[in-house]
Amino acid sequence: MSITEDHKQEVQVYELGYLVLPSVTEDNLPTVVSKIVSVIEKNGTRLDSEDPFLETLAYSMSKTIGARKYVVDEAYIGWMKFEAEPQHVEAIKKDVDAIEEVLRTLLIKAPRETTFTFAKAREAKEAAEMPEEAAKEEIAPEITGEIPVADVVVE
Amino acid sequence: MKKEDYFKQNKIDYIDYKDVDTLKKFLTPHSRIQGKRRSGIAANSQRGLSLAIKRARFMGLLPYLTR
Repeated sequence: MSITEDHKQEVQVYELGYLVLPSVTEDNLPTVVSKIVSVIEKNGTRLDSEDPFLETLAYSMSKTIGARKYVVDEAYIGWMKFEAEPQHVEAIKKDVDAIEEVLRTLLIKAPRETTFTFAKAREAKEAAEMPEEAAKEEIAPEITGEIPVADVVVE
Repeated sequence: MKKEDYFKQNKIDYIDYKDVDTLKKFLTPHSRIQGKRRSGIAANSQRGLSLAIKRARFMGLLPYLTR
């Protein structure tokens, strides 16, 4: 008996990924995020998060609010990691989905340590692109220098 | 010859659905998930990979199909 009761009490780390409609302006974005935070902090503790940013979607999605259907090709994407008891998680998902500006949510179990963030990935990508650009610049003058030589040979 | 497991080599224990650049390496030109023979990764990595790709598709980070 006591074992099952203890098991119920155990907290689990979850990650909530969400998409916010692009019709929300950049200035109003923090209010939407704070709505999500308030839902989570009712039943859990926030651990880590990344602020949403505008991203082009791989395919178009739609959301119906009242009688209007919104079809979007881009959305603000963000995520939040939190700790909560398993029995509260369904309620959290339901409440976040009920927020009007939220297009889609993904609630998953996640490891406690954060190994990936969009900001880190962007930095790594920029760092990888930099040396390539520098290499291209070095090669370019050599090629232009060779072309007049080839013209002389043809003549 | 057996290919090395990409995720074991790079010491990635948890394959994150948000890591689109890594996930894209394991998609075919039609955006289908590469088979285990083609990807050459361990069975448990392949399971984690397919789950991560499916999550990324749901969130609009990866396409379901490319014609």
